Amino acid sequence: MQIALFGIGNILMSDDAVGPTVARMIDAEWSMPDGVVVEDLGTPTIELPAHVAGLDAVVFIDAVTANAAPGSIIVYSREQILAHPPGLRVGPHDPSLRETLLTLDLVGNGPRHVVLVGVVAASAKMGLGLTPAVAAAIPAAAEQALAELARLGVTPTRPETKRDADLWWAA
Amino acid sequence: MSKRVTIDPITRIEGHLRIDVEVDNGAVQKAWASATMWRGIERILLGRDPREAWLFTQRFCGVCTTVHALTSVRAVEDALDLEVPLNAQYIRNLIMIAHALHDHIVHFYHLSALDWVDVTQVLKADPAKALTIAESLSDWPGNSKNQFKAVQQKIKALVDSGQLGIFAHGYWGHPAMKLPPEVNLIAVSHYLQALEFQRYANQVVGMLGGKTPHIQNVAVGGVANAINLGSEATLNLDRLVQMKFLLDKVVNFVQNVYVPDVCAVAGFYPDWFGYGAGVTNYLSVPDLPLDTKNTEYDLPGGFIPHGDLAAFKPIKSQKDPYWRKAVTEDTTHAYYKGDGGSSLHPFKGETDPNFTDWQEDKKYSWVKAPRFEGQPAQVGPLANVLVGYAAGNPLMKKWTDAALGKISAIAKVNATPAMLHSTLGRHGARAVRAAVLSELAVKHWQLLVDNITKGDTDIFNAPKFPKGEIEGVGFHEAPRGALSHWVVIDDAKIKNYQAVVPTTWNASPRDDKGVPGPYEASLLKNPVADPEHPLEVVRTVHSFDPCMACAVHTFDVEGKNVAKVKVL
Repeated sequence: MQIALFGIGNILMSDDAVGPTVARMIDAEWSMPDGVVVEDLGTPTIELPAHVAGLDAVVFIDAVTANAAPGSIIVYSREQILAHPPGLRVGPHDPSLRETLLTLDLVGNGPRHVVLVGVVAASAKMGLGLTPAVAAAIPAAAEQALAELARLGVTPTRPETKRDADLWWAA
Repeated sequence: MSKRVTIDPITRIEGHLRIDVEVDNGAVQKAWASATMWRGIERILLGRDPREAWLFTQRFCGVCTTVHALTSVRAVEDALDLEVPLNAQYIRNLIMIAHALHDHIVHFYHLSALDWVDVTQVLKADPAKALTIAESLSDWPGNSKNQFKAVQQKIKALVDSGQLGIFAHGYWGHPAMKLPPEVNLIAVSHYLQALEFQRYANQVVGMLGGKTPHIQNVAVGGVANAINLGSEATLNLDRLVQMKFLLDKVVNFVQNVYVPDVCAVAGFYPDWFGYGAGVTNYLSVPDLPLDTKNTEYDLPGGFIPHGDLAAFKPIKSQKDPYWRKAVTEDTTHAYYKGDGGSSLHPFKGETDPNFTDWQEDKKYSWVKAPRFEGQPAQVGPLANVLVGYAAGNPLMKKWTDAALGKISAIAKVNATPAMLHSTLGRHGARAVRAAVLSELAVKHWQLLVDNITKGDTDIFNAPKFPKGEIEGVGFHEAPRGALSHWVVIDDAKIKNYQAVVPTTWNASPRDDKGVPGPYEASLLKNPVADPEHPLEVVRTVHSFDPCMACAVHTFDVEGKNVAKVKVL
């Protein structure tokens, strides 16, 4: 099994940094078994299929908007992600998570298991730093992401030496 | 569960582009390009250490991340007159080439081919006949009757399921679709295969950059790729050979699949060499430096006024005063205050927002209007190829002439460089540029290997910041065209920072004199057969490779909104 935990988002757009933040914190605090990677993918757009191709399972963490209070954690299944068709592409920013999954299905090397751990954002405006509600949701988001990994049979361990999450933009 | 993801997990990265067109008598009469979101990221950089600016700038964008990293360090190095070791230049050049190849392949196959290719027509194709056509275009071994049959089966399964998946939003059966079924089948087959080859190019970026998107190996003064041919932990012989293996596959795909496919598609749409010229002033900056001081380059730069190749003026380097003085940005029609005057040089540039609303005669865009010697300029692969052609660059000439020859044979016309001032010309030029870069990929890999085997392992010159004010400009001929970062540094802190990006040149609004930008000008006289389905408008906008999400609205001359084509 090849499994990935990917944080997605733009650290320059306030709450959109939640995906990169949680991924980096999990990566600092846990060691993963062979075949499992944790990565802050930032803003991959057209590069996303390259990261996802060939994997068996992926857990994404990203900011979302939904009819719920900022900081709420909502888990979306593969079916829920694909419930609406993707839009017509105009720019290279458009290829989305949906489109990535559908494209890889067509080629035949897409992941069977996909979940999105969504953190409801209060703001995606330009600026560094999370809003208080989203910052407070980080432990719960990390716990949810680890629970999704546990469902896939992944048992991480604590690293021997403490590592820095390297949230360089927050300094 | 409640409604979800209106901030789509992946697409809400940058300002969106909105195009408004007025259609009358089956053609576009007026057009406005506007960005609907403020970038303003330059303001985050004020007061920061110039050595870390690149980490922030590469997060401007989700597609061109590497380009903003590299251009940022070049700007700071220029301010310091800091030389860059040869190994660092070659490593950066290889990253830029691999990124561009990845980007050009994706742009054609995955972002714009479906404007010309009708996926549902694939079902009518004869795979044997498709193979005969494919073999007449190139001898690429990835073409076979079995491959074409398998792709046809996959599309049939999709159509039968009633869910077209990734193809759900195409303009299938549109009267402007003209390819024979077999060419549609070849194109869809290569669409799927291209996914694999763009990944190889991206892997090269990742190997040298540490990761992608957002490479980690850049530094003001060089790169952080330690070189030791015998060490497991550094850039070594093993990694160099792996990289060459990946590059060779991409080179083969570009030369034997991408270039022939673009020529074939172009050959069936010769009308489209007659639409979409727009602004024919072309700006391109020199790139792929060959020395430590950035005085010699493999790709020439310069300015072509009014489409006249004979009037070409070269830009020799970042220090060239012709280049440094010519660039201004106008905010007459952009949502900025412009307290220092509506037209400012980037070193004096201001980013103070002043949002009004979309007002067609006043302010209507977040994009400023960049001007070169006071004129709008088109940037991108077409500018790069025409500038290379005008400068007599042998590789640009070789691949341009080869592509025009192929198009001439298919369309039974006499294709000339003058036809490149068009919507299809931009696609053709992008393929030509990719072919040129594919040859330069091999060259720069060899330059790096030769330099290392000579015993040179230098990768970094430490920057030293003086007291007082200095200024610098870094430029890069990015996949979407001329990109420049302009930085003013005071006592080792950033005092001003302006990025003049390719899509700003091309998506520019009107300026103080009312002169429209390239997108706006290119849409005039574009045919629109069906205003409800403005495929032709999308074709021309796509041909620029816009680096934004986009919404196209069409309304009739009374201003009634007849169709809103949400393309998000």
